[in-house]
Amino acid sequence: MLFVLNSSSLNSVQDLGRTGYRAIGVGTAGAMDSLALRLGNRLVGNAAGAAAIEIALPPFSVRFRKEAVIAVTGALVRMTLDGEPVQSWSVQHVRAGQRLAMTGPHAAGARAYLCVRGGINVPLVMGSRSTDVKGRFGGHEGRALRRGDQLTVFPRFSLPGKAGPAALLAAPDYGQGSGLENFLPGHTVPVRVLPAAEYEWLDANGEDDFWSADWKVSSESNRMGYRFIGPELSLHPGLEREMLSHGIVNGVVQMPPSHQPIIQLNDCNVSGGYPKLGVVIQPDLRVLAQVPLGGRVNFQRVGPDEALAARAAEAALTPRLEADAMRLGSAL
Amino acid sequence: MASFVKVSRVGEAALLFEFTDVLCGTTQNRVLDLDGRLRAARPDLEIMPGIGNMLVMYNPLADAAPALEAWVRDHWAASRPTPPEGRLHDIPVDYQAGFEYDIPAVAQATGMTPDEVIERHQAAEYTVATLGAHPGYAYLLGLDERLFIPRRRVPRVSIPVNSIVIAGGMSGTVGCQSASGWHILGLSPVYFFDASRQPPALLAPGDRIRFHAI
Repeated sequence: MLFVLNSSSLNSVQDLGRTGYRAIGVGTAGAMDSLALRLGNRLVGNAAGAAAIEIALPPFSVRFRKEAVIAVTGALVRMTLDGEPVQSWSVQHVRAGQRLAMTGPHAAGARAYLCVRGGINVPLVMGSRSTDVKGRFGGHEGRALRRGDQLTVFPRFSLPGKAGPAALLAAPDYGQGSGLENFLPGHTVPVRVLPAAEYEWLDANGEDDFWSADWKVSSESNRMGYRFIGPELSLHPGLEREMLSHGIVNGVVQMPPSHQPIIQLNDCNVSGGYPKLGVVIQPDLRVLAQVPLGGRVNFQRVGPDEALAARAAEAALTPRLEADAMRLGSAL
Repeated sequence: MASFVKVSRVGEAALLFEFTDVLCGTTQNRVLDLDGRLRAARPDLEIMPGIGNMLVMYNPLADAAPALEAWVRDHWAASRPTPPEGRLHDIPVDYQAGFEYDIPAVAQATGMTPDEVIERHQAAEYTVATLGAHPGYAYLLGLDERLFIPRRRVPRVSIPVNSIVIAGGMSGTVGCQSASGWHILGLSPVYFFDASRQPPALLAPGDRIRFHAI
């Protein structure tokens, strides 16, 4: 019921990702801003983990062949519905035949989630509807979306839509009291990092550079990982060595031979041998996911207790945010 | 029996246990024994055996790191390097295709003829140390020492699915098209990963592999 009129090569069907398959080399994939996905789904009356479309790079436009209830969350998107501007983080009732068009680069943030009532109907593969681009499975035909693709949604009982202003949800916090304006050009986004085993390889200058630099997100960054441009980190002599391949997690900050950090993300290889300087704490992965190419990031050091407290806080807050979204959406 | 264990946090929800920093078949057998024990005891955890190490991923709101660390150490102490009962796979390889890739460079680097490189790669019986990296990729121990060479200085952005590769003292089977710094010796008609197959990965840790030229 959705006909893709136009799409860049960086937009794909994602849900909350796959877990339990790292031991056969299959990573999570999944929405990089998982909270935006959850809230978008709740706005349209879906279960939090229903499949949606992640739009990392406009253009993206789609015609709805049937009426639908939709929400676009995550990044602030420049978009229109049959030519009329539509806001991110709002619930929209769409009539059959209407066209949603996302044109210019996102106004703030890097990834948006088009959630449709019912959820995108693609097969479950290894427990998830997320697209694994490397393995060419999951999502829509194991690949990014392109012109001509047709997607369906699961049927849902829909209450008759009310005409009137679309309901607008306040976007959640994206870092220590800041919202999506955090991702406008000229801002440096703080991301909390827990030091890892090879952090001690850094000498005093290396440590100082690691925490104080305004790391620039290189244009070679994508769903597999972010590469950063900034000072070459210096190490204590004699420590650098190749490590045996070991399992890694999403958010690990590694130091490759270039000595400029990279962060492995949702589509990364699940094991490797690069030294680990630190790991982005889980609640800040969605913050990092909204930093656009060319944006700037600062690593903020936290300890295990702080990391755990942040995770607990997010776990407590998420159901309340979802409930707010559901309440707002049900009014439409 | 070595009882060396280095433990480190990998973020707030994973612990990495490192048992050795050299390639060692005996230690790897013990890692696979440990893998079986941990999975049987806690099927809810995500456990990733690596080369001489083990990553244990957990929910830090449900499990505390010190208790989990002690639990893994206990199981490591009890684990044994029993050779695993894996399946034997006989994998066909088109080594001629390898001439388009790295057979000439590997021959030059190791001081052998291309035919000797192919012969030595085929002659060995390999054991699957573990899977990882990308879907279906298997790390193999048992490579002839004369074929030990470092990774390519410049990795390739994309290598063919089902490539047969070597680097750093191991051989590998490539499950999907991916970037790699390993040297390609040939291509196989066998699919090492198929999402529609059950299980999706053809090889499992502990399996034995022989390659033969087609």
